[in-house]
Amino acid sequence: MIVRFALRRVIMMVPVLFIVSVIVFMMMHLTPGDPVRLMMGKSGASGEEVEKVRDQLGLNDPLPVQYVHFITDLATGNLKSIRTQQPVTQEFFDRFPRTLEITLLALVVATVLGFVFGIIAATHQNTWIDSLAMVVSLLGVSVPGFWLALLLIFVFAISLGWLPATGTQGLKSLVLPVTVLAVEEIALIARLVRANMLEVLRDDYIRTARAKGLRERTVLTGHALRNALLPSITLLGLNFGYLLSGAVIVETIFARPGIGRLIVEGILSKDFPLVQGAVLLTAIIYLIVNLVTDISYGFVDPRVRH
Amino acid sequence: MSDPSGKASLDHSVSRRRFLQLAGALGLAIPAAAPGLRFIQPVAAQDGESGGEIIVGLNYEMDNLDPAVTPYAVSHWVMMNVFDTLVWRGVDGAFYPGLADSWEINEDGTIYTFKLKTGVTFHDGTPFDAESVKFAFDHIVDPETRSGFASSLLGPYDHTEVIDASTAAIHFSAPYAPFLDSASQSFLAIPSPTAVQADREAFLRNPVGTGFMKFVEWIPNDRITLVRNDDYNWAPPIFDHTGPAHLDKISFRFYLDNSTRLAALEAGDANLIQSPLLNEIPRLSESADFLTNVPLNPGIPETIFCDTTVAPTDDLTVRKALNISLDRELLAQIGMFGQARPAYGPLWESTPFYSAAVESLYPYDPDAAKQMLDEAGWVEGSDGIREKDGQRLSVSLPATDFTTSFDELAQGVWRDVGIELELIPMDGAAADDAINNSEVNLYNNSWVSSDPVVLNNLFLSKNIDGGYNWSKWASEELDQLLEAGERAVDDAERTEIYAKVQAHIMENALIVPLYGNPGGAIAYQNRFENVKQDFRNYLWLYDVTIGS
Repeated sequence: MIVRFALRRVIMMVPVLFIVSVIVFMMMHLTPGDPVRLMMGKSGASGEEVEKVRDQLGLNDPLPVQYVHFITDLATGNLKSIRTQQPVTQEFFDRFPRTLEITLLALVVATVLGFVFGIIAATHQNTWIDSLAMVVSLLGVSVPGFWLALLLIFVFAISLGWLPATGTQGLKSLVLPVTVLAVEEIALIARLVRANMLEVLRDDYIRTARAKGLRERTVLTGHALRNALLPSITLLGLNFGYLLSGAVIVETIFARPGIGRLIVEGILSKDFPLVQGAVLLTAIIYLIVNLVTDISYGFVDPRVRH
Repeated sequence: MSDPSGKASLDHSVSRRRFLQLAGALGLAIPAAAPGLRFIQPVAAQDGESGGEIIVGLNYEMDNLDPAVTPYAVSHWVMMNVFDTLVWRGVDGAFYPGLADSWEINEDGTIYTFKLKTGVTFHDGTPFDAESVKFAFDHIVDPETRSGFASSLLGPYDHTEVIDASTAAIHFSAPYAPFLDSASQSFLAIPSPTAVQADREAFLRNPVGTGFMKFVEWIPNDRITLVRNDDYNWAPPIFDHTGPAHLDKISFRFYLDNSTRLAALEAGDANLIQSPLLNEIPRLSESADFLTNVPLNPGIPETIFCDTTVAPTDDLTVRKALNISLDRELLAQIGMFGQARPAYGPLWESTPFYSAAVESLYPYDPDAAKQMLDEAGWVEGSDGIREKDGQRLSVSLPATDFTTSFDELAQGVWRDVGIELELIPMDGAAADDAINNSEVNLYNNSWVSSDPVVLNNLFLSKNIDGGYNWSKWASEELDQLLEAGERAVDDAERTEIYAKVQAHIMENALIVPLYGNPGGAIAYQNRFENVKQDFRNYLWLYDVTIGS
């Protein structure tokens, strides 16, 4: 049954991916700028020579033809970046683990802290502890990521010298990027957990558990928490996508390789194959993550069966 | 029905609890398994003099490291350690032996004959000889190679004649004066023919040359690593020593964001950075830990190009007024934080064949500008901006990162004489499109070059359609002068020709020169000694040692 469900979802991915690919293709081609002119900017090439290269790259073909070439090239692994002439899949997967490591770590940190803040707030509802927890997490979501990144670099890398400002060497280089990414997520998770906990704590079975004489802690962890967990799992999938996009700023400021940065730099150089391919690959990953999240929802909540 | 105790399991073999355990384990395992999560010990100097590593922070990541292909100036910064050129251009502007011991130019400048050094080998063991030189240049002009810049440096290249193993003659189909300068640039450096022929595409990311450093790795978006070539023994006489370099290792990191690059230097992630923020330079140079150098680049200075086919910049008077009403001293002082100096013509003063006559052509005189506009019929409107025959005196300029220090100052200064500057925020790609399609009046750019032949790209009429003649100026007189300049092998002749070229460009006010380009600026930790910059302000690291 799971298999049927998964299969149905995989089939539904196709129209979604088709729409995504068309949208990104149109956006790239209909906005101003030409990758060959940008690349050959200092080459002293004449207009004719630039046109020749454009012909070679198929950039003068009608748009539908270019679209078909794009899809077939991507499927056969032949899609090459205009700027570097390297295969797009290679450029993407070389960098993907880097984005993944900060995204996943940020997800873990944000989830853990989000839960902690949410539970504390829920169990001390309407006290100053509740307000404090909510305000702190709200600050996290309001502060702009790039500002926080530069501030943390200034304090921890330059002034105190405890952590590296940039780069990818060692676990220390993960601390600041992951912090910046996680901070934005904590508020969202905290507020959701708090709301779910409050709802669950009002339910009858909680009253029964308390009446049975169970310790408050057992009530919380054994009963309330598990049920409050459920909506957060759905959120995990969405958060993953959100974090992938937040990674762009973090990757640029901390000078880390990653797919966010790859796509942004591709956009700036109008590298059609690279941006189109990378966005499509990201979309596929995102859809798979959501599929996994939905399936695991079924595992975690026995009430839901596919 | 709910079962909060978690003992219920599905039809399948994986229980809920087991699933959660696996998920947890996977979540922890992924970061640990991700490639590259390793601790790296910083390389310390062996003693006060020799050894050690320098980490250089670049402002852009190049597309590839094949000298024949890559068009980016930043590639030069890396390639000049891995490759050697036939000749080197000293800071004094003269040419010195590199892979070539000596050279001869025939009378009309169509044949350059080089006597090559012997005993030189590439990093992969291939011996260097005249065949390597022939291969290098043929590779550049091969259409398969898709050369981004090197082919333009070769000009009217025809073929290379291998006279014997250590003599090569380069033949041109027309006299080509700039060739020695071209040959001194790493874009014309000699790669290992074995490596290129083995796999042309792999070579793009795996350069093999004769340089004092060997290429080790390039991790995209992260770093490039080079290590010392212990067999190196053919350094040009412009350096302080011969034999292998002092440094063990040179690494390059990429920091696109200006603040990040500076932070990397201050946090010690990088030892030397390219183009530090100009407003930070005074603080860095006063600090006990850092040294700075802000040379101004030869070639085309930071310049505004006027599209002569779009109103109102199609009017010569308007273009002259733009030049005369601009206080360049003020601009360089305030806009560039005192780090640049004014430019008055299409070539920066350190460029060979610069003509100082341009400096007196448009002295700062806003009153004269107002008068000339009045006389030409540009009448001040009610909001202070002039008008003539229904055309408003409003000029548009794409505002990109590079124009910010200039934008607002110019707006104020030009408004004072009745000219409106309209700034349109755009990224580089859109700006390029806009000027190409004549949708804007003005366009800002600069171009590093050590030979005035660079002017051909910008002012030859054949480069108007889809090329880089941003002024869209078509003049037979200028075309002839520029082509003659490229062919005149005699220095005195070139001086005369280029004086006329610069005069023509400025008398027709095709451009509004702003200031010398400080793009070659560097800031570095002062324990690194003998850091030098060459004629074009690229970095020379061969003599560098690390003090204590």
